[in-house]
Amino acid sequence: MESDKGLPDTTLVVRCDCGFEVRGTSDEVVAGMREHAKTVHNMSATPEQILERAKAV
Amino acid sequence: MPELAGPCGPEPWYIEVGADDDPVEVVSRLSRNLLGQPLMVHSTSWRRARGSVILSFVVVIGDEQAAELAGVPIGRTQLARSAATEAPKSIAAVQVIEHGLRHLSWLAHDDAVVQSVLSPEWKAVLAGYVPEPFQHL
Repeated sequence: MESDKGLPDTTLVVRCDCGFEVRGTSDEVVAGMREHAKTVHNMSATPEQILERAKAV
Repeated sequence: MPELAGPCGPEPWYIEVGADDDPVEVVSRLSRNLLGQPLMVHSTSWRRARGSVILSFVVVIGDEQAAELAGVPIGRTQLARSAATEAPKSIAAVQVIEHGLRHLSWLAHDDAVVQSVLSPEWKAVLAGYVPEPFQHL
């Protein structure tokens, strides 16, 4: 899979302070963590905020 | 022994409350959405941490609602003591829980609504907590 910048999309992991973790492409971790943030913590997170916490695996 | 559990398992469950939100409504709504209808939602203390003012709630749910949740036994600990006119310098999560259950213990004796929703098992557990309703935590 490639990102919209034409670069290979590495697998990322983003971990919430509560222990919840999402792995996948940048689009997948952003979508998964935004859903988690809203439903569990009542928070709105931007893609930038989420990707700041992402680590490549 | 009671257990601490929730959507975040044994970790503290933090919920953001907007400027115009009612904290009790938000906690009740998210608890209902994620855990099912709570038996009781009650605010017990406040503290400043994580760059915000954090309100602590005890949410009581039925045994069957916690079956799938990871949890940890709740042990006893000393309270975070304040000075006469100052908040405690530091407050650990276990101290927040201790304070909340002491608060609930007092309500179990003093508040008819709380008495009506808590099970005999809950009341038996809370009997071991010294009521301390006005400790500033």
